[in-house]
Amino acid sequence: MTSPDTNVGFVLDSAQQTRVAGLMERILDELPQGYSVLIDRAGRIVNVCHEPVGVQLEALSALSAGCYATTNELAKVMGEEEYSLLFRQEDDNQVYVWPVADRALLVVLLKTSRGVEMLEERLGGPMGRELVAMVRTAKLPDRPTPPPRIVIEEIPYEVRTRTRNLTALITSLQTRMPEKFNDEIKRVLLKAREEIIKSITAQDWRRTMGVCEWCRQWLFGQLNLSATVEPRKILPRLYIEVFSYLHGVLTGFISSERLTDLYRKTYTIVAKRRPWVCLSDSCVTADGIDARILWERAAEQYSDIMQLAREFVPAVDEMVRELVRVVYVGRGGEGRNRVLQGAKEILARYRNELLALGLEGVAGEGWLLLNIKSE
Amino acid sequence: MAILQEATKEVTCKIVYHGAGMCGKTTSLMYLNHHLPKSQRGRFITLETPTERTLYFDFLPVITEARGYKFRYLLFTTPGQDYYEATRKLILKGADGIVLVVDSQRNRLTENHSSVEILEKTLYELGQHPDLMPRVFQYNKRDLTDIVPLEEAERLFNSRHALSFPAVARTGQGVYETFLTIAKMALSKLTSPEGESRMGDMFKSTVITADESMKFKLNLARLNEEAGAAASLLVDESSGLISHRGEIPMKDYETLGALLACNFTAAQELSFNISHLGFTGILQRGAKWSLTASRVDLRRFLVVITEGYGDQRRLRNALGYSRGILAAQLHQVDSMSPSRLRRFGELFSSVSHVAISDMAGGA
Repeated sequence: MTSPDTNVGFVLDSAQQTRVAGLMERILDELPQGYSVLIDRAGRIVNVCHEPVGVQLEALSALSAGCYATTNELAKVMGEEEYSLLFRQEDDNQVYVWPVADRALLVVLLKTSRGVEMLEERLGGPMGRELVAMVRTAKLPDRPTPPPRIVIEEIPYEVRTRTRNLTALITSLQTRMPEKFNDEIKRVLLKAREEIIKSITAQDWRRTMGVCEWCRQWLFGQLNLSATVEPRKILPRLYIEVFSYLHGVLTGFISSERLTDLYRKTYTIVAKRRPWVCLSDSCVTADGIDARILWERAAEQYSDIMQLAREFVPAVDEMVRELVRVVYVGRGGEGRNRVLQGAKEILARYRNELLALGLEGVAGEGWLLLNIKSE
Repeated sequence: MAILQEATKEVTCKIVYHGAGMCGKTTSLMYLNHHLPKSQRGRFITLETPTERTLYFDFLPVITEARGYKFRYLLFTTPGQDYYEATRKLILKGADGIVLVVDSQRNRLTENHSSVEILEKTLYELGQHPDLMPRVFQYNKRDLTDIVPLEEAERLFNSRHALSFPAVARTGQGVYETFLTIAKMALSKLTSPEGESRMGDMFKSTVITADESMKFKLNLARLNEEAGAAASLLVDESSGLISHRGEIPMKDYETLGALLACNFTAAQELSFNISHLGFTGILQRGAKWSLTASRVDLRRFLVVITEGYGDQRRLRNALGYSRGILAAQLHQVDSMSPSRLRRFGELFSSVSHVAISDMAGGA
């Protein structure tokens, strides 16, 4: 009997290993000159019962796995769930390949055609069910799930954004509070990562988004961040402060009459691009754009507050960017850099609250948060 | 080996992407699958594995039409890891062209060397001189740092001075150019009877006339009747489907043929591993359909699809009878193919040029 390869797709502990070996013996009991190999779906050997003489086991395993993988694909093309596989050599060698759960294959070699029926009976009965149960409950090895075999363009925009946001959030939280990331949190995050990769590979987008959202909320719960902060409190306040600061700068070189006109034009430009957020120009005042009114009007249209936040941030950021452009025209590059620096200082004061919302550090498609690039 | 069907005006070629593990073979196919128009590609198959590595093969059929002819390129990747040497050899069988994907990173030099050596060794083992096999180099991952300069890569790997392209499979740079070039070279080989005649037995192309196609269909129809089968397929080990007859609900015969070809080849190799004798039959059984495969000659086999388990004795008898007749017909096809190819040479050289140009415009 060979010892299990540590690279296989599942790990049997010593007790499970003994039980599997015993079961494989019982399956072959009284079958004429039989031997069997349990392999994972990638063709790596887990256990051998009655090692055959003169047969290269690695080649046998790789070929069986390759052959069964095509059989599995054939089953899909034929609209079936799974196939068993039997190779016949008239009345001599018979090879029977049987799928064990969705993790392994049992390759049984028989020297005569007699015994195939008995074997099928055993595999379909309690012995087969016991083997399936044991393989199904075996642990996964300690190695990360490989990246999904899918090109980025095939992933819907919303899913891409969610996964990116989650990654940015975790990275940001880890940088800011490394002491809170204990082994348990790391373990759960790794498991969530594997789930996300698996669901992306299976193109199960609903599940991907569900795992992302669950992971975000769980993480907030673990770090005691989610209870006190709400987007409707923090986002309008942040942008009110930013607009107020910009107003102060702009009044330095633009008259108050022209300023009101400028705010209205800025609002109109953005409203054309993002009409679902900019629902009423009542937010435009002589002192700037009132982010609270803008939020409240838009909130009437949204049932999901986080969805609103996702739409609100880029819209208001665009307004800020338009106004920064005016500063650039009036005060040059130096003036613009100073304004940007000021806006970022305001943002820094809100960092902890943004962190709790999962917004801090997020800068990408949809989420800009004052990440205004130099022009 | 390519198959030319006069009746349907179809040409099928097999292109294999070979290279070390993780060098970008699958990514190249994924790029083509994503960027070719739907009308020019079939179903992309990547066998499910518990790791990111290719277990046996990935498969993508690329199709193009010109002047009434349909050109079908069956693109396969080989598994890169040494563990899968046994399955890698099977995919190279009957190739009409090979893309050698080289990982340009300096720390992968040994793996690349080994992959080039393995290719040459495998081709010799399969009875094919490597010099006669159309091949193109795709120097992949050119966007990474610490990569080998192209001149050095050429000196290190491309001793036979084959055409080569720098590429980034992830973004698609160079992938399409590489494919177009190898497709053109594979067709050029096909249209050069002198080149074709020097190919090894497993790599020789087949020309099937309209009359022979009809005979195949009649024989398959009789087999269906005698075996009580829903459908039957005559399949070539490397180029997939030759002929089929009967009705099954799923009509993707092309994918079915390619999968069966790989499935049967692996089963044969497995059999040789056990007893140095090929299998006489393979039975794949599901809840509704059973597939029984049986060898016809060295390169082809029959697959009979029955509802449920079918009457196995009746099926065996019918298979035994049909195998003999089909083997004789295929023997005639093989003996006539070299002279027929000469007849097709001039025609295909012009058509293939148009076919490739059209595809370049469509992508």
